[in-house]
Amino acid sequence: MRDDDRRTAFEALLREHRKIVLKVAAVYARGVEDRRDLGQEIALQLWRSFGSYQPERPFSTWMYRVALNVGISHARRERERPQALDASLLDTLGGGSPIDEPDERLRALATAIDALGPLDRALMLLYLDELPYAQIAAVLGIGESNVGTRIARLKQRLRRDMTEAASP
Amino acid sequence: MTENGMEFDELKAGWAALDRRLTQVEGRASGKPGTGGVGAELRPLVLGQAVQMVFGLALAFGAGSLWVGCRNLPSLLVTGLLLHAYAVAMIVAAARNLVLAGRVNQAAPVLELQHRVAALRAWRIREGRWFGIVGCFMWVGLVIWGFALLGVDIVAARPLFVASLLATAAVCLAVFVVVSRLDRAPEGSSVRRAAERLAEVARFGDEPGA
Repeated sequence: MRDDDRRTAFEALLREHRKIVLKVAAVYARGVEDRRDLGQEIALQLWRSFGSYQPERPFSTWMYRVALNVGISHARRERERPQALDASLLDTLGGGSPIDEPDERLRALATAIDALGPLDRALMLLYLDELPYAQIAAVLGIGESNVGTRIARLKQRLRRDMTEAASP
Repeated sequence: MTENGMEFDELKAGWAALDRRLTQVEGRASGKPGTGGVGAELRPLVLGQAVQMVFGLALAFGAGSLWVGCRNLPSLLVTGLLLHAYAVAMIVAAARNLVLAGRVNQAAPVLELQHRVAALRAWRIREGRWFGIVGCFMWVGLVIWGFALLGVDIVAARPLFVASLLATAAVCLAVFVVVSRLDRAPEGSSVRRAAERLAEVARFGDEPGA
């Protein structure tokens, strides 16, 4: 494939699946600027790694792997647990546009994500994106049965956290 | 609907809201390139290891010449052998780092890549400690070697001077140990954190019931 064709193919795939980049950046970044930087970092790494993508396999699996690897490494570099979903996503839109939906659901999501380590965040992101267990297993590199067990434990933990938060 | 189901419905609704919010907030995912993630982080490491390897080879050659040429002078023989061993350790450590860095593939499954990055980090921290400790004394060997190049066996000629160098090296070591301890974050030393990260990755990959 010629370089131009390769770039065109990559840009088309990135456009089609760009929400993966946006969501991973939202889950692992610490603020507006950080989220933007992480999104660019992921896009750049996707382009650099594009040579390793095998077209006969699902692009989304490959993309989730690269994006999550960059996101997790970014969060590790921060040395602290990253704060999920920055204020711009919770309170206001860029440029001060009015919010067109209530924040409670996003806040509940942010609280749930905040309580998780980088690997559990990846699992939760994939689960909430409704990927089949087989694809989650392929992205994370664990067995399908392990995916089921981990998701069950994650739900259990979140339920416990929510109950504790709700109790006076 | 169960209580659990209700909670997850909330999270799923939050996720859908995030999806819509991201579409509104972000124009495009790509744009001005960022810093490049782990790949960019590893590039200085790879360059540094290449330089270390060249320096190690030069030191191994020089130290080898020293002890081979001074086999009848015990102080220079021992100094040359110690410097030679240090140089070989530098080469081996750099080679290992390059191999570990070369195995970091961003498109690998998440757990595999995180394990490799954690292993590389753990090894780098341990290696840094050991080279730091040994390095506190190795410069004394370089000074002895420098005098030997001028034709002076400084250990035999000025033993007190060499003893003062060794005392200074011991102070260096004490400072190194203190600084290493001060560097500890509240959650523990970098060695422990690296080990915990490896353990975390291993736990996550454990099959149920295994």
